Amino acid sequence: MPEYFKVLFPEQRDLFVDGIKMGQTQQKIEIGKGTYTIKLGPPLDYRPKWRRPTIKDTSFDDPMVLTFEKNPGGDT
Amino acid sequence: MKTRRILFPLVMFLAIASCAPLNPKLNHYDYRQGYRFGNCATPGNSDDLFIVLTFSGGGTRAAAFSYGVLKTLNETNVVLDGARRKLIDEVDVISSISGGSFTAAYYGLFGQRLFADFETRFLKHNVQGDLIMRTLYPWNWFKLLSPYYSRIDIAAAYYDDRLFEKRTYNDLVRAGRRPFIMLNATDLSLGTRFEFSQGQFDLLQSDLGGVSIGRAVAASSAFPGLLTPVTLKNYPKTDFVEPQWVQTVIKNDLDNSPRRFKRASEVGAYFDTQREYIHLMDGGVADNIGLRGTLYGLMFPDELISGDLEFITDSREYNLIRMIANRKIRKLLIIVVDAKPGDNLSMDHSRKTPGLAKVVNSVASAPMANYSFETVQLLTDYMEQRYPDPEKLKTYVVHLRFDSIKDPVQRKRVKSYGTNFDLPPEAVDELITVGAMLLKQSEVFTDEFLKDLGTAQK
Repeated sequence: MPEYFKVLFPEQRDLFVDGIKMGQTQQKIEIGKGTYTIKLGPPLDYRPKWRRPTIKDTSFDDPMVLTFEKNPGGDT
Repeated sequence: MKTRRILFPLVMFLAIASCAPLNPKLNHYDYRQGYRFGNCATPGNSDDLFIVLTFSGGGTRAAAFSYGVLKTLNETNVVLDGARRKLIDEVDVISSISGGSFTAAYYGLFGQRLFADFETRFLKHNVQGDLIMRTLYPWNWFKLLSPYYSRIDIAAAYYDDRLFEKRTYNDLVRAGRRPFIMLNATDLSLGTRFEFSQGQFDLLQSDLGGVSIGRAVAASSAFPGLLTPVTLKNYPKTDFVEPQWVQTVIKNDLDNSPRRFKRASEVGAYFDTQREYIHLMDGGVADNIGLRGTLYGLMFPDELISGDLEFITDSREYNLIRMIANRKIRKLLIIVVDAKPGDNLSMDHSRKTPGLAKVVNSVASAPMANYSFETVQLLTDYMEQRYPDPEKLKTYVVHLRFDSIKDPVQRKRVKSYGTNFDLPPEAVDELITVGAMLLKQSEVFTDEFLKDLGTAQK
């Protein structure tokens, strides 16, 4: 059964799932059930530095929502 | 005495020559180099329309059946973005097993030449007879004395000489065109799919470029009992690091995602320093339909990229779910060419206890057929469970199998053709015709896919 997640961030950024580009912020993304390391693309002005959710029990209408915040003091 | 003096060095030379590693070491890892999906491109073939073909195992029967399908795609013209194109030029990936690997590899190497000489050079040639003859050559007896040389090496050399003209994966890299050919074998220890791609060979710190196409096809078609396994060297890793996701999945996903956990464990097994060699057998043992790689990539974004790399935007690996997320694909067509044999009920005609050969054949074949059936069901179910959003992605699955032949007499006859490499020419002709007929009569292909393209014409 496909799972769905969505990353919220004030800007549009590329998403990196386990180090490789996979969609963008604010986009609903289909993925298989499991645990993934999710980061935003550079500049690294966000927090947390990464999230590692186990994505399960979601649906297209009720995706897992992950939020990153702007961190102007972070690495750029 | 004199004869012994001549023979001993000769035997030693042949035995030592047979020990040379068959897969070269990869001196420098680069995720952008080598035979990878992303390094194959044909002008005009965009990913917007994405076509995957899978060719099952089943000897010349499977090779001819899949050839019939390719021939039909070659004769089908479509208009895409205002340009008239052959549908075959839109094929992006061919994933194949055993008998189907001969057709796939030949088309990957020689393109349109497939339609000029493949029938005479392979389909209607007694390949089986040639292989037996080669085993009887006296110089091969000496080679066979070596524990590092066996019948599969004779088969690989024969395929290289007769069919693939000693081409290697470097030739496919140089050609750099679609479709990406994914020949599948089985890792004998793990019992899992082993594909001939640079991504898989990175796990062995090995350069696929130096491997001959004949050897890859031999590995894909090394039917248990008839042929011996192909052995590859698993080199110590110098600059390829275990992919990031492997340990995360092993730590977290045993219960959350058992399928993904299994895959992570399999990938992790190539980093076991005691596994110095990998032995490969017929791809049909792990997946006789050639669909598992595509199916996994449709579900999970797990790619074989070195774990020390970050923020990769130009991965070259074949992974459908990432391509979908990156909005590269608008229409996805998967054609499964399944040369599954009919049920052999002949042993039930007699009270006599079936002989060992019949029992072994049934025990080897039944799990393959059952697993193939389940794989296609899994694909169909998964497609149905996806959120249907035709605005973003429209999918089509075409399953071609002999059970769809409408004429019962023909159906019975076609299903009875053997899975060896020596079929009568009239059987080959019929299998080619059946491949074309079943594709054309597929409602999904004709009434949905071609209609949606809006420009179907012969």
